[in-house]
Amino acid sequence: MNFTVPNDNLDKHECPLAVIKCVDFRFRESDQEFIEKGLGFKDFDLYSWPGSAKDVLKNNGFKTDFVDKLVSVSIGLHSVKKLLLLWHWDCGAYGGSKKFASDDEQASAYIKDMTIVRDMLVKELPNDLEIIIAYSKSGPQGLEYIVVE
Amino acid sequence: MVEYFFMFFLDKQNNKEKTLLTFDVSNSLMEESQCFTAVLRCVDFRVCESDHLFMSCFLNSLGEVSTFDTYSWPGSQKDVFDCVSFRNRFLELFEKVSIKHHGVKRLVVLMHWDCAGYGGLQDEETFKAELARAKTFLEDQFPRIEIVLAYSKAISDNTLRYVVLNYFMEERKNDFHASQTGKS
Repeated sequence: MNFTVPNDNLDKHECPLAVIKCVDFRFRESDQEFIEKGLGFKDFDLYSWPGSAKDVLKNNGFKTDFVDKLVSVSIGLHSVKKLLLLWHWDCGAYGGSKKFASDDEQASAYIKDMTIVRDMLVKELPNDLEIIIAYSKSGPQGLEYIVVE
Repeated sequence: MVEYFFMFFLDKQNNKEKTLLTFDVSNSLMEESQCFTAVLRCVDFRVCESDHLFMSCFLNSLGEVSTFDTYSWPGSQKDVFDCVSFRNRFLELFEKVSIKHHGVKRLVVLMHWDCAGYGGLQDEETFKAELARAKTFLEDQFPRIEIVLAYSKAISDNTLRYVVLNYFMEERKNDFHASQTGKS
């Protein structure tokens, strides 16, 4: 069984951004739209892992493996200059929205973990790599993507 | 219809952090809880969009909706064999998240042309051998999951051919739907 698919990127060697996001099927298209139209990046290395980069907080080797891959592949080979850590609403890695008493509590938990992960990764990655943190939240239009400082 | 709202540099009232940007996107899947397919693919930006398009075409050809969990890691399945910590985490989380939480029944292992994880591999026989090795291992780990093998090959400067190995559509389609309804 074969499928023929157009691809205009085959002769490219560099992209500006790497993204790590969750595997959850519900967010694939909307995450893509946020990155392309909200942030303005069409080309990016995409790391997809359950809970996004939440595993950095665990002592299971993920941080070391992720940093190694980022440095050797995305930075070393593709000359990536920015890294986006993207969390999503109702994330199963946190037990879903039902585990939180309120939306504010859920958002605070995500922001707290994203900030800790960013601060941990900053120490391991090259100084000139900019790290962006963002999460999606259920809103009246569907999802609201929020980039925080 | 998608509407976009940009709000730059707004201070949030209730939190210490500063909101730099908000962006609204429509999403019709928030109430969904199950998908039947997952893909393990490489992170390479050059094939991101075409890999997703291939997955949609493949699932649509089976008469299924194009929703799938996406696992992206450099070299796709390579670290299942080369990195013990990756293998352990992948096996644990794929079962916990995709199989048990989302109800995934099928895993597509997808390699791509000129993959740096394999030193810029452009040899179809090596693709087939690596994928066959992955299938043997993953079927042993997840005997109830259908393992589908695929790779992309450049056939012109701007076209990829995605090859699905040993996949007989009608037969597998019937098997898959039978498994969903519990029929033997």
